Amino acid sequence: MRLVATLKNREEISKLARLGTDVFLLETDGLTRDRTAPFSPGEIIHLARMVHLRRKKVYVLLNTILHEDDLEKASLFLETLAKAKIDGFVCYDLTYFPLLQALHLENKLIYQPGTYNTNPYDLSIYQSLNIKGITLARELTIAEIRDFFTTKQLLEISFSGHGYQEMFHSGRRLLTAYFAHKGIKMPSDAAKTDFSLREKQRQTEFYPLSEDRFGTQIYRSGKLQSFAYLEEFDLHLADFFLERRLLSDQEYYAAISAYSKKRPELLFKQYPNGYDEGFFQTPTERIKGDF
Amino acid sequence: MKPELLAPAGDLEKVRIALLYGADAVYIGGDRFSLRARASKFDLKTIGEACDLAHKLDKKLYVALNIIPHNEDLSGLDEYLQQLEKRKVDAIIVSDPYVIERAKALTSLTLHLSTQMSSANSLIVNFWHGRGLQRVVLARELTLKEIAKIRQKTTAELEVFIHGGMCVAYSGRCTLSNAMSLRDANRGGCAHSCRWEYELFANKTMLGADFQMASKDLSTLQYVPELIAIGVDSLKIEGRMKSVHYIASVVKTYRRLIDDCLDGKLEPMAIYEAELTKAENRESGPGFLAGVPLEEQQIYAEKSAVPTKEFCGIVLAYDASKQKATVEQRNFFAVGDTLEVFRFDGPSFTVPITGIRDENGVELDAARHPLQTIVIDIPKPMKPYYLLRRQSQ
Repeated sequence: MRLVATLKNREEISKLARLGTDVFLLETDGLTRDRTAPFSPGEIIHLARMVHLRRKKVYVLLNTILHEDDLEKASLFLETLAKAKIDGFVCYDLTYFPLLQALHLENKLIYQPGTYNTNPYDLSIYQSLNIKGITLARELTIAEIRDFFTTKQLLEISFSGHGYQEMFHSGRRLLTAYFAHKGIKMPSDAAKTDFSLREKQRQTEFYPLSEDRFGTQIYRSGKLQSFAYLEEFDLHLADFFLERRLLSDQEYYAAISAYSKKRPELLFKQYPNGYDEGFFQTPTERIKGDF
Repeated sequence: MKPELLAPAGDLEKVRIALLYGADAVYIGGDRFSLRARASKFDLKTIGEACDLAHKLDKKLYVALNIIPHNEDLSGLDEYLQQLEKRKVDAIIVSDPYVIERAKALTSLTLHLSTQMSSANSLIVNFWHGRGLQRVVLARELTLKEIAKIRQKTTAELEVFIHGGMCVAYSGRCTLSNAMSLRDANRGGCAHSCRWEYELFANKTMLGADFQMASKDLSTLQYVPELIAIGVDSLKIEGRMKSVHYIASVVKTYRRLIDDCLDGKLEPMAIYEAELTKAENRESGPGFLAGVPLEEQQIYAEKSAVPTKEFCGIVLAYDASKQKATVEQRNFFAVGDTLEVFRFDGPSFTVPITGIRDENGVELDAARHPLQTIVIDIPKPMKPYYLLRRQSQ
């Protein structure tokens, strides 16, 4: 299993590599939302060269929903990167399949829609598309994840198993709308502000919220950790994504190191708070009043 | 080109009402594989009846199989698909690739891709069309210009939501309900966490205790002529859980609007708008059709408007010789009230209520019991499924 970590800047490559990162996830200027550190196509090409020199891999995160006017930009972006030997394009929108197919690069597509990939029966369909892999839905229990592991598969399975998990993406700018409604100015440093929501019946939980030109994102209140399942993930997953959003650099480094060395204490000794196991042991109801 | 007017229905009576009041097609959720399975009144037998009813009227019936299934949800899928085909369902509305592939492998059912897949451009529409999906229900986040551009680049049928409640998130991408309530939004359990009130914090300092993210409902009367001009194939109304009165009112309004538009006889929009306010309704806006919505399309306070009309009953039968209508009562009305007869086959008219009797002929001063069968004197011809309503008090 490869550890996939988001790269913040060029100087960080050796640090992340030392900590145990196998794959460097790069964000883009116009096709990644809720970015940590976006890079231009030229920078990505340069960074990919540097990463490949270290015999590590490079993925590019493309997590917007593509509207009609985005197609040309996305197509140009992929064309520019076509010769950079990017190892994987992590895509939220399946529109990237025909875009990559046009460049004969569909075998680099990792379909990561957040949810959707909820049953192993879908695997055969994605295999037939000859894509690189899929990332499992974030709301699966460990039992459901194991169902994928027992299914014979010809494409790679990945999971986003650490950090703040996105649970909501709206095309609306909900912070901007709220501030306008209240007649108050959006804070000038909004991009650097940690916004969060608290629901009146759930006073101990704060749900991180961010807004950019693509809309609004809301995250689970707890940070996901997967250490209890690391051995089996190691056996069956191709990639394990560590989400960087909203974590400090130091906490992120500690997490990479802890997963790489399979020593959770390297993280929890310094950062013991706020972690949980997400949906691993907590199934969701199919329908209201189902259970 | 005349677009299809597609209406929702939560039970067989609503199927009939939607079709009679002007829908070209109705979509329903069965008791399996649908996001409305929890409240579905449609087992396979009822689906068959609904199909027969639609086909008798030369209209269509679609069945939603639009959950994003987990492993445990898929048992019985093959047989269910075959049973739907046997009942001559006109199309199924699907989301999951495996459901699509099984439907293709086992049946010749027509497939429509659900809006749950948030299809927002022509490439993805053509991708699914190339895989056998006849129609794609577009994402609700598209502007008119975007819809027009997609139309120019695909031969797939395009379906667009024109009225009703809206997810504030991209449909199918939201697990807010899963995380907050352990109810799976993509399997019919959505707790509507997006409609709750929140406190907003910035760097741990509270900025406001009234943060809301709920969007106003969609209402697109003024955009329908343009959607027709663009060449959208199907105009869809949301609301499988809505009442008979709502469905009749909304369907008839859009039916009239579409027909008036195509006949070159458009009335001022205020006339159509007034019709919509007669049934239950919430604050509404055009969604994304005119661009990314801002605060004016968010709900921060008042959530619903009082309908201008109150639904009093539904006509079951009419005895022309005695000029008496048998009516199933829905809300209170009394002798001396004036009721509007809301008809599917003509303009409304009003009648004074001069007499009400129960089934045994006992005279009543008022109709007080919902679902009670009563007989009222009405001097004008009536037909089953006419609706009676009165000015809201």
